[in-house]
Amino acid sequence: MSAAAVTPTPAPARRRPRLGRLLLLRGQPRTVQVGATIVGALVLAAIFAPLLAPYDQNELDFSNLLAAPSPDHLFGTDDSGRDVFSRTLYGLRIDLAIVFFVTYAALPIGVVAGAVAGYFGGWVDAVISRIVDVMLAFPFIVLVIAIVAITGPGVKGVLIGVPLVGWALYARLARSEMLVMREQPFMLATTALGYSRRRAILRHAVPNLIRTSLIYSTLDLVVNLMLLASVSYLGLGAQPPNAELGSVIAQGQANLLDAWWVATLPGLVLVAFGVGVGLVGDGLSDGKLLRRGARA
Amino acid sequence: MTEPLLTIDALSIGFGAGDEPLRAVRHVGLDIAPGEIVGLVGESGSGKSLTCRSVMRLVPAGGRVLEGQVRFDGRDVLALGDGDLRSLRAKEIGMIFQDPFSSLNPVYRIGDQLMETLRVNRGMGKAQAREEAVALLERVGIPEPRRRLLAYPHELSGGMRQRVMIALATASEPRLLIADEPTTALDVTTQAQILELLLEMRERLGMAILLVSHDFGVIAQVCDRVAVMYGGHIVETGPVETLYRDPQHPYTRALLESVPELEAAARDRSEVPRAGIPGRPPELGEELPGCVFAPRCPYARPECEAVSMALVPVGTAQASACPIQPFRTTEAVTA
Amino acid sequence: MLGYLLHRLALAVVVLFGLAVATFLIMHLVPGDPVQQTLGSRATPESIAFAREQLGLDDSLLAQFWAFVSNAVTGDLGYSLTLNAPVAEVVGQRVEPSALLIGYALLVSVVVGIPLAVIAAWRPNGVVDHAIRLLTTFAFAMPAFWVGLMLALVFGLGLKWFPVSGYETGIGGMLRTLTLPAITLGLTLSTIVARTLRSSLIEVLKSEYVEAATSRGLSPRRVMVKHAMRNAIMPTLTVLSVNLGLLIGYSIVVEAVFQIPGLGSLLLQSVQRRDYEIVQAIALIAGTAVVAISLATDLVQASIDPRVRLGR
Repeated sequence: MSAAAVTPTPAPARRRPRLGRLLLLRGQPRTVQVGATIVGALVLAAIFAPLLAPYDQNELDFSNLLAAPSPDHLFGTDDSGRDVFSRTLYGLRIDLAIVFFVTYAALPIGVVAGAVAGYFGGWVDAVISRIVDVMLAFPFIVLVIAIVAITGPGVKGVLIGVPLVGWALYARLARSEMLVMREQPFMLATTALGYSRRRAILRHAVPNLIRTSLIYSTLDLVVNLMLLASVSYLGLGAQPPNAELGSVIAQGQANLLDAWWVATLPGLVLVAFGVGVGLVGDGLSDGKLLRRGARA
Repeated sequence: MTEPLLTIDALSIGFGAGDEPLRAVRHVGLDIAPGEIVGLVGESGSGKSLTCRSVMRLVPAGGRVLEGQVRFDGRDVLALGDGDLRSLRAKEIGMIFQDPFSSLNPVYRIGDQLMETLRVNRGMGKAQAREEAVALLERVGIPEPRRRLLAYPHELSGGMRQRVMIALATASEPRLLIADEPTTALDVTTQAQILELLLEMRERLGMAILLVSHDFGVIAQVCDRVAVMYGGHIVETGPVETLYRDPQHPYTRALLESVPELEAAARDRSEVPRAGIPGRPPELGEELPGCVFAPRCPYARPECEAVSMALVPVGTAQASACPIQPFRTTEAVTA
Repeated sequence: MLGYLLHRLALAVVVLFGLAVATFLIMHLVPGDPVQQTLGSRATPESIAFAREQLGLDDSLLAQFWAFVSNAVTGDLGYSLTLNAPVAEVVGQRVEPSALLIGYALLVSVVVGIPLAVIAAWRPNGVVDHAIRLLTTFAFAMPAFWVGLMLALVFGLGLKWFPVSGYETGIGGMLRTLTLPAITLGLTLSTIVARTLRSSLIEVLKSEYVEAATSRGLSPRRVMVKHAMRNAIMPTLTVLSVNLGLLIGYSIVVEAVFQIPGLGSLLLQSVQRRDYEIVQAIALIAGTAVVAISLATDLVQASIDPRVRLGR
């Protein structure tokens, strides 16, 4: 009984952010540009650390102990006369390498596990979900410390420990998305077309699921970096003489009041990385919300 | 003639900041007398929801009143301060919404929600509020009202939720109730019951109602007068029966013809009933020259592009925005 | 409600069991002979054998697991070789500072996070909102140990308002020694609280029942605090309980920074001394705490929102 029929206007085409456009930064909101620049600069600094560092990370200079920041030593020197700036660069190098590795090693494992759990349901889901619950019940750090207790201090402990728990987060994300996605027409079509379940999950579902996980991974990068820095602060990470951001800061604790730069400045580098990633994440999610609103 | 309770005068509402807002409501004027039930009918996007929300200044974010006045009981609603506005909403005007499920807070029992408005808006104490809440539920026809006080919204059916909504909105016995598509989300039987309830409340409380709907059948059941909206303009007004028997605007006529039950009326006028109106209504902000219905109007003539959308009286009680009046010559006009 | 409660309880028990298995494995995944490592190279074969018998290490794996679980349930968490005392006793002494620290930090995060979220959601995308979002981005990027050091530097060593290490009992002592650590620990969590609550509030404020409440003339403050908040707090509670693990984990770091004699620092010392019994026990306790609090959060949510009891 309602008003007369009307020819429907076509819905505006939905645009998804393309990776290429993302990398070019063109047309992205200001926060994304600033954030990506910061992250990019830090990543480049880390990659080119050997070229950029004015001193070797372990070069001792006993005549220059605990020197304040100066043009010669941008971040000052520590209690053994080592240049803090160089140690920060090398530390950043190790830390970023580890963090990218562990985050993006855990992601695909988690997404596939979650997709499988969500797709099959039943006992497969029950088992995987309980394992995920147990993994997530453990405070991250406690588990990593416990693993380090087994393997002994060093990078190995972190490399094993973090992905071991990290995949669980992505599994949970992917599983809940899959529960919704499996009822979508395109997924039902894969069954009607006779595709193997493996194909349906890996080729059709996962590429869609991975989007949310990738967005979350920006958060995870920061969290894992904090985790890594904390572990090395506690002395359980890379052992001396290798420099990691956390251990450099730890060394600064003894002389906190007199030589505040040793503990403070490397920390600011960590914060900068976190802020950069955070800005990118913020900017991207803002953009998405706006797009969704325009479509509705 | 009594002073109208509500007067909307040359109201225009637009979206977007800056100098070129997208106009959604254009130069709309409407009067409601005390105790009168006035219907506002039109398809989605015609601006009827926005118009009725502006009476309480509940225009959604992004929208603003560009010009015009809204006067309630002689007071300028658009110029009220925050405290006075809240007082107006609390005691004098009530509103019910389309989806009864989402207009009730899902985490509170309905008794608590009722008692809240009674305590805050009518200053009742806890015990008194509880008794009054029971009485209110009874009056809107909810069985076992005392037990229902403890129910959560999701435990009630759609029809019952809408009744609770009506109880909430009329708790302070407002003089005007704005009903924005109150029956759209309900099935036909429940619809009839709710409309019956609204009529009852008008009888008992002397309350005027502004009923907004896209459904002509609903309008026909309860309204005294009707205003038809299209593309942000009011294109016709008049008493309900007269409008039905003798629509003066081509859009109104087309609207009535698309209602299956009223095809009989069309056949009486020896016209071929149409299945629908070809074409589409104007988009938000689309500026059309002259009459906005002209592109779809079967009676359109070249001069329609120069016409203003002002309402022209037809007979003693109707007004139409169509200056051509293609039906005038063929019908005898009865007041 | 009862059905829901039992269901959650059953799930919790399953997870706890999984936890027990996992922590048990820690002890037994260590390469080599853990006893030998602990007692050192100077230990005689007899003492090693004695210790092994004491710890029941010569029994089958399954028997050991059964012993572990049944003991743990009765409160016997094993025996520490390095400290020569029952684990339960050692751990018991350290629980108070840790629990207080975590509780205090939770308080800080709520007291800071909730008002920030409300202020931000009051006028979304306004100047204040953007400022708060930027602030939270910065705060989230700061590692806990660094924040602790900075706070210690400025407020402890610099202004001398608080001590920078140690722990004292009693209300005054607690406030003195635990304030800086609690702020450190609570800071990250407060940004999470502020962010999630803000976006829930903004969502909820757009809903129709909020519009309906406004149409009844209720004040904006009442609408925000009574109607919007109760609905918006739900996802925030979920996020809080998920992040509890983070809180417990970082309390270890914060205890190290401020030299607080809690479970965290005990864990670290035990790792260095290779005291696997204690490591195992603390891992189990931490995991159990998370499960218990997660269960409690579920129950709180179920009591606030009636729809929760139906679903899941």
